[in-house]
Amino acid sequence: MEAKNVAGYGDGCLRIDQSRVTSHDFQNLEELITIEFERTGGFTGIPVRVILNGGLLEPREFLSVRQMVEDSGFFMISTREMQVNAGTDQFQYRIVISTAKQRHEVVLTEKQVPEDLKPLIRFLTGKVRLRNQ
Amino acid sequence: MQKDRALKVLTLSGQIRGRRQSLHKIRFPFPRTLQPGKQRFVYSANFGSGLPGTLARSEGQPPAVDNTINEAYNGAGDTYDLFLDQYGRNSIDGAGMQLISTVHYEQGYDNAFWNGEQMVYGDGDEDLPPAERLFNRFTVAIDVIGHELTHGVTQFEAKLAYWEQSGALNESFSDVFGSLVKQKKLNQTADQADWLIGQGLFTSNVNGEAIRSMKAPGTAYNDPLLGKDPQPAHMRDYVETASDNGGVHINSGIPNRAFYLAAMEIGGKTWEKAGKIWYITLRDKLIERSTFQDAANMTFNVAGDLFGKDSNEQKAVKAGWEGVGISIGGKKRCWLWRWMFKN
Repeated sequence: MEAKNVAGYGDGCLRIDQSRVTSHDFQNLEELITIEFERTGGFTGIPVRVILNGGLLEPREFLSVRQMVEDSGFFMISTREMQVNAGTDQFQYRIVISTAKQRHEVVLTEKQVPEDLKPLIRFLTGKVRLRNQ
Repeated sequence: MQKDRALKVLTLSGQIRGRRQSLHKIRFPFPRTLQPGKQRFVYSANFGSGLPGTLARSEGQPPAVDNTINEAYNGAGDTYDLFLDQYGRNSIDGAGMQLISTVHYEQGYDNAFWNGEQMVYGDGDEDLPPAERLFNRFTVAIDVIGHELTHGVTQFEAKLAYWEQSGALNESFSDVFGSLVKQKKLNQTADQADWLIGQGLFTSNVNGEAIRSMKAPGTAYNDPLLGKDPQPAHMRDYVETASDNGGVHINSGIPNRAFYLAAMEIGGKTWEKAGKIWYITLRDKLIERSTFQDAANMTFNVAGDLFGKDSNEQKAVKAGWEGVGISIGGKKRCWLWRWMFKN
């Protein structure tokens, strides 16, 4: 990606400046992301699943997703040991993210989700709920 | 006055008993004040995730303008009354524990849960346009409230591990007492009850009458978006899965139907006999890794203790479990063996 799309912020982090992304830039992004998301458990026990193919997303949404994945430090998160006394009726999440270079899977209960991963889970849950539209 | 005295005795016996309570691992942010009588506190998370949130109604206060708050308050009260009046249990811990509920949890939160300390309820799909909503608020069904509160009772008694068969039993006991709260509220006999769990949770956009059916597991819904109710009604259809903590919300259909069959065979008001058998089994007999077979054997024994050997009640319990493919005294499905085999 060209430097024009990367903006510096006060916290010292570099983030993608989505307002300056063009379709040309998107075509240059070879490291496409596929996300498999599954939510099980909850009072209803009704599972929901969605597979998100980065190549089929709008460029800005794709960059937003990639940013959320980076911000969450997803590839550093390890699956926590399942607790046999996990909160009753709470959700359980399974997320698998694949890129051209790596594939990583985590399984977490609602209680175990790190704060930085919550935006991505909210986004993916929103995608599932949009099925009805 | 007499009721107050009885409650004080119950509270004391709850404190003294403590025989199955290892509370050292449990953190209580709320004072576990041992007082007689209901102590209900309903908070609002105001669509955020902070718990418990802002206090909206406490014991004895008049109804709030927001009906969701009143549903949580009244449902907790009805559940408390069932356990106290029918089984002599003073609240979740048997010693007058405060009943803490939080409503309006997060946005678009299709769930209700017990977090080990309190009950939490989402508003379903309140943030979507009506035509796209699948779930209503989770306080709408009184049995959901009874279900969540019973998870608390289980935590203080059998402590059924939330995994595979013990987890499915944990779920089933919650459905049983959730249903009994509703049946008691409506003053229904076994044959008058609908035996549905979570009726009213689905909006009219969903093809389904409830989340689960204790009478006919696997038939509660069949919807193009949500799929078909996956609950089995018999051991031959037991689902082996790693999802949902080993299928705790799926395989609970089996003990749920066993209870339904026993209750129908006994007849009358279910909370009086079948409910008592199941309550004493949960309180005194089951342990962390109990299986369906253990539950069958123990409910059979308790029915014999309460109503006599070969009594109609004991025969009904036996018939209930046989109806789902579990024979009393039958071979135990060893979870350790299955775990080793799978790994």
